[in-house]
Amino acid sequence: MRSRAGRFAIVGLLILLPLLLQQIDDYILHIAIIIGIYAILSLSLNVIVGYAGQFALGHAAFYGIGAYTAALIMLHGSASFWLALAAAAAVTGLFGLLLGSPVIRLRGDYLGIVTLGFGEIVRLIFVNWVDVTRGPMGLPGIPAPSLFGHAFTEKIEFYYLILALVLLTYFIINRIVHSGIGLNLLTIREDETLAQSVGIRPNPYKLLAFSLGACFAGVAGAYWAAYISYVSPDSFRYLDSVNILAMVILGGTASLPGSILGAILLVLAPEILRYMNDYRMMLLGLAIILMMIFKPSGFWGEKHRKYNFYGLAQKGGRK
Amino acid sequence: MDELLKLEKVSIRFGGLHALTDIDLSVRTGEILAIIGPNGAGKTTLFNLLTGIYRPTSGTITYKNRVINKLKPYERVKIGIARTFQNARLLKNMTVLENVLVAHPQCNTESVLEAIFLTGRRRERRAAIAQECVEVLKAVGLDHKLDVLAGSLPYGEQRLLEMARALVTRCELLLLDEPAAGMNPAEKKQLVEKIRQLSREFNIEIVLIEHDIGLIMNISDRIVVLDHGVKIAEGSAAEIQQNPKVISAYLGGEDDWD
Repeated sequence: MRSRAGRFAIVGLLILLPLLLQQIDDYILHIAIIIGIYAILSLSLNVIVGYAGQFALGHAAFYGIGAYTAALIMLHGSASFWLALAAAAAVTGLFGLLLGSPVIRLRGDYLGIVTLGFGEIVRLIFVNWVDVTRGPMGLPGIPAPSLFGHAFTEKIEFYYLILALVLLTYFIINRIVHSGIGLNLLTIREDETLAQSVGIRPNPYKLLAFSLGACFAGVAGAYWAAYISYVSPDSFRYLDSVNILAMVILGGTASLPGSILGAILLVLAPEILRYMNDYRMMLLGLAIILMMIFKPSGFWGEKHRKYNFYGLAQKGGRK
Repeated sequence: MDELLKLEKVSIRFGGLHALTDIDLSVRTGEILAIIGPNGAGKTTLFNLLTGIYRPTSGTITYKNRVINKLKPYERVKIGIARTFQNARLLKNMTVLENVLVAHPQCNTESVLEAIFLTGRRRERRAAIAQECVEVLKAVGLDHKLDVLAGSLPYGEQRLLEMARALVTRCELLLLDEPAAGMNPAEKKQLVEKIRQLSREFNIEIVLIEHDIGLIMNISDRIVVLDHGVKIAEGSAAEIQQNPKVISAYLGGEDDWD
């Protein structure tokens, strides 16, 4: 019960926060929005990497597919943002399934390499399929979302939109990982032979994790397209995939609050270190290496969990 | 007597290695069958054939009058064959209860939508599933350690947890791979009691592999002896003890020097 009150307090704070921030600076609000986008991305990657244990390196590709899908639908189909959001989620979910079906037969490094290749292929398609994507010039002029006839123009409106999306993502992923599905995913991650010997068929669960993770990355992509009102291949590079992966690992794999913490840290750190110019990325790299050595389970790893993976309050399920 | 499981002329080869050759074997209802044999005799290979990790090169495996040669491990669990592993395989970072929950058949069938829209009925169902798991844990005597991480249990209790996990799949045939490995004599004695009790309580047939001859003689209704992938003897404890082939397999005999 105390934890529920805590959660309400955090959400309430997040709702009130921009009123305070806006007095200070639009820039800070922008950072908060970027944190939101990366929170969705790291939460969704956590399903694949943390819960299903599939070391995927191409998450930016799903993010990009979502952004381009939404952009194209809004520009050419003149569809509303909400429709584009749903379409982007569905399309990327499908791509997750497509990528998943061959790669779930691979393990470890091999899986990493194939997903990395997938990420590069998708980026190259964005660059070279000029007829549709306008190549490196990108797609400008994506309309802003509107709600009941009111178009979003202020940053604060976008802030509330991403807040709602993050909460929705968190809610859905949280429910799924704390269910029989999550429990099965963890079993498969730990020991596939064991999973089979207790009656779990591994492949459908791995596929589910891939398409679920991809689906929410698509949501983040669609939001990005509408927020910046411009998409170009530059936003979906290999480096972005690595960055998202670093958030998941830094925050703690198989921990949802950890993913959000990772997103906050890795979005804030380069901003705070901005005055150091070129050295900031080196420092960040160093920080991650030190982290891996001294705290490999992340800042908020599995040890902190208070819930049984079966969704029963407290481990063991006894009140 | 009915035959629950029957192997007819089952062989498996890995390249040129004949791991098992023409094994005939049957498990009858209501019995505890032990499989013994020196190291490398093919006991664990036989288990892997029964649970579907390997497929036989030739021969047929029949379970409840159905040929199951090609069934995958998870499919065999669904028809009632469960196992434990030689070196306790548990989810070490998860609690005792969670380790048993993963094996519960209804925990495996939850759909995505059911998980997202967690209805009151679903919650009740989950509580009931958890309760069933607690009951099974009670039967093996681990119900006081529900929240303990499986990895921090003493070795003997890890074996019991593995058994609970197998039982919760509602198996009818339980395969125990060296259940007493690494246990001290007192623990072994308790284990024999436990296996007998579980076999009665859950009405299941048990096949076990074991090295400890004392324990085998004590617990099994029938014994099958393997050596170099071939069945060399079958019978009651007393018959096996007298069998010259068994004695030579274990102690070395003239025919070993051929």
